[in-house]
Amino acid sequence: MAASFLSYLPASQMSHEKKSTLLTLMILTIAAILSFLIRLFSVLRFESVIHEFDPYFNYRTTRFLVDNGYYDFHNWFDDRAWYPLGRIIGGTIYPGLMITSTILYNLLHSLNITIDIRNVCVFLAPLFSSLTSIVTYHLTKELWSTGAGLVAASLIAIVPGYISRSVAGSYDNEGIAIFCMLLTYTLWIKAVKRGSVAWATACAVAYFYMVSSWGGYVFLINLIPMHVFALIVTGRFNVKVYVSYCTVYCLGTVMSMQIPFVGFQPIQSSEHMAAFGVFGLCQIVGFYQYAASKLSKEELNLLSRFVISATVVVSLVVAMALQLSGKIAPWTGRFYSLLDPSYAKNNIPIIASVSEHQPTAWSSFYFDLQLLVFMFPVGLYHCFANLTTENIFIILYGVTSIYFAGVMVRLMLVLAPVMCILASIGLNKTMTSFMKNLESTNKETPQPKKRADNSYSVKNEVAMAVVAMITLFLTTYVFHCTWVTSEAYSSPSIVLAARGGSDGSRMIFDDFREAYYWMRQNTEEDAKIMSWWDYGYQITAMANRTILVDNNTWNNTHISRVGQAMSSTEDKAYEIMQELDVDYVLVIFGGMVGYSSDDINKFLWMVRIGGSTDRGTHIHEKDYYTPSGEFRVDREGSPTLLNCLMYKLCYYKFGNVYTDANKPMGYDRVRNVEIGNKDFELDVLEEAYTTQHWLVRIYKVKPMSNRGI
Amino acid sequence: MDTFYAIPFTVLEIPRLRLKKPSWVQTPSPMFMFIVVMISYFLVTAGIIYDVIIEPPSIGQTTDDYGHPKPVAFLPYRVNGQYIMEGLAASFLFSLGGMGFVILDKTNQPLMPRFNRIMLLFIGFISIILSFFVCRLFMGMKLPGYLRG
Repeated sequence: MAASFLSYLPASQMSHEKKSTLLTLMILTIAAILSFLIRLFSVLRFESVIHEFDPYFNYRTTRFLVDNGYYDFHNWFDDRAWYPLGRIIGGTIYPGLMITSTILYNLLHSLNITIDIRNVCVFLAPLFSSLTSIVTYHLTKELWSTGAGLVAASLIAIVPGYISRSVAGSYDNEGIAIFCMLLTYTLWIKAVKRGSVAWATACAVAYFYMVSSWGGYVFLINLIPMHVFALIVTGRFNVKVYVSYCTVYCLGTVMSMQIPFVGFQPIQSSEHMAAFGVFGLCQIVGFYQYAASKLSKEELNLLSRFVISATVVVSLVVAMALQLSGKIAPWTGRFYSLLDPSYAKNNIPIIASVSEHQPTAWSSFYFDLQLLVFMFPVGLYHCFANLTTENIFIILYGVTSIYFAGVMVRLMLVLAPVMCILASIGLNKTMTSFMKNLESTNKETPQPKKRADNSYSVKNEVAMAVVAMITLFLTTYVFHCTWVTSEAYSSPSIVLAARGGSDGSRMIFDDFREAYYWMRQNTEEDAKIMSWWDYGYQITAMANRTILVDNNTWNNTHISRVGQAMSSTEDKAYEIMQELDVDYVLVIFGGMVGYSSDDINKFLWMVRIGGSTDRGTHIHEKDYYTPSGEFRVDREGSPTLLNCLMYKLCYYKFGNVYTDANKPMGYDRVRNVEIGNKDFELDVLEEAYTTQHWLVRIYKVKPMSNRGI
Repeated sequence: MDTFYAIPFTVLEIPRLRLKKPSWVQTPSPMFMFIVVMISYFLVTAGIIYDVIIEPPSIGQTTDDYGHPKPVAFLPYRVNGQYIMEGLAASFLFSLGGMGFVILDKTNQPLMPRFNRIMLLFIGFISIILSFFVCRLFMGMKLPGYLRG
């Protein structure tokens, strides 16, 4: 009865090939739509607003590009940041993100769909995550099979490790960089498998797009040569690999040098030397293989001895000369800290202070990947069991990115795609090998011959159990990903929400935007604002005022000067503020509402960075601790801490308020103590504005008194 | 052309060396490389780099209401923080789960004694199910609101 009904549906009349194409298209469409929708939690809960800190800079530059065109953007010197130094924005950013948004914006406007640039920026990352899903399908299809590709597309659509940097509103380079990276890898694998110059050129163009979008392109330009080197070592080097790599390296390097920020680094810095070295090795190996096919054995021996001795001598001389003359720069700080994780902690406090740069604990792996951490070894095992040219690539990608994700939690983003790919290979192989064991219930196929294998009587039941178990795991994966996205990765950071008040209703803290808009409307056009570097980008983008230091953190000495001002007493800080022409000071204070990422919790980093340059040698971190070594803001706290500028600016007049009915006045809800220094007046600053929940406090610097004392 | 390539050797004399590659040096087999990768996966997902840089204690400690010190297994409320033992335990479960699937894959070979097959199936299923659900439990102990909103 059911069978006769089903035979009327068009699906059952289609050929097997058409059915599989329909299924593939349906699954890919659902995965793409899903990856867009899951990233919309914060837009639905709050509004379409740009999140965090870095995206505000990208938003400001995109607005500039839309308003002024590419040439002004390329030549832009920004005098409103890093006062009095300024910043050459045109030459120090990766413009891919801004150009992508502008092209999309102009395209939509040319079709009379007038979407505001802010909305284009907010929704760009989810759009590119849909495209990433589709590209992952193609990459896994090249590496293994269509089935694995579909699983990979579905897994990467909702994996939290990728969602964390690409929610709607997180307008940052990584949002498009992952798409560009996977596109480059797909085209590289296609080129290596076919040996065609056309695919290799396409790969070079995709690599150029990658270079324009993220500084992490260094990973690609080291992974692809590593792959070629592994192929040489395992004896799989052939003319296809030679053609692909030479095309990709030459075209890709030339194109990457067109980005002003990259400049001449591809031929000068150590991070790119591996690619160059493998390029040379390719020529040697290729030539050797060609000569071996044409010459006799003695001639080949003679030729190879000559070439080897000449090459060794010449390359040693050249390398020594370049190293000694300083033309080849050593590995720079950020990338060097990936090889030696303790380097940043001991030498560069700014890199060490960013919480994203901390090493990774086990729970971050499980939180961001759940099921994939179990299936990753399975996929690796199957790749090792069936080694091919392309599997070696994905093995190398997996092993290197596991190590880098272990060193820096921010690089979990680079690990997430390869985890999805290898997990999908594992899942696909397991499922296909067990589904073969399932007995078909279709009456039309002839009865199988009596099983020759009597030792495996429960084959069908075991297969059903395995399929049910994997279905259960995938279901829990979906629930986990949705929960993680909803709870952990959908907070805009510029607007805070909490459950509080007498009736437990949701309270919104919009203090940051309140303060920035006050500043925009109530301060002079050329006012200079001093704050810690975290808030720089937001101040320039929303308040449109000149700042001293921002998140670019390119000048450690300047940041150190601001740190010295914050850590010194008021009169010492006044000298620094006069030197830097500061008009207003902005601090973030969370003690009233319990916001723990405020400036008092970041204060020790200000002390460390302030004391790390020569004008700050009088600042010692241990002066700010109690004699027993604790950091306390109550009566027991160190007098240096209780009298420094940051303390005074945060707790000015805080000693007169009650934060909690059961606690004394001036009770700090983050440190959970009553503050030590309550009744003080400010000599050289006056309070200009404090927001509703005391989160942002702005002070005006008084001019020097007419008659000096 | 041959005479050109032979020019350096009119001056240099090639020493008559009897160098042989030792027989125990060979390119490693793929499965050997897989075992090496698995060991490094176990160490990295245990957070060994976190342990070396941050130097957390091996087990945490808290005092209960009577003043007696009690051990704490999991560093609570922080996703990117751990004690050394919890990291090693969790990554052992990750690797065990992965190996469970590998063992399960081996059970599909056609000719195998019945006892071996049943043993492998049993070990495979137990490894997978145990590691998966215990990891969920660990995460719930670490983040008290896990999967509850």
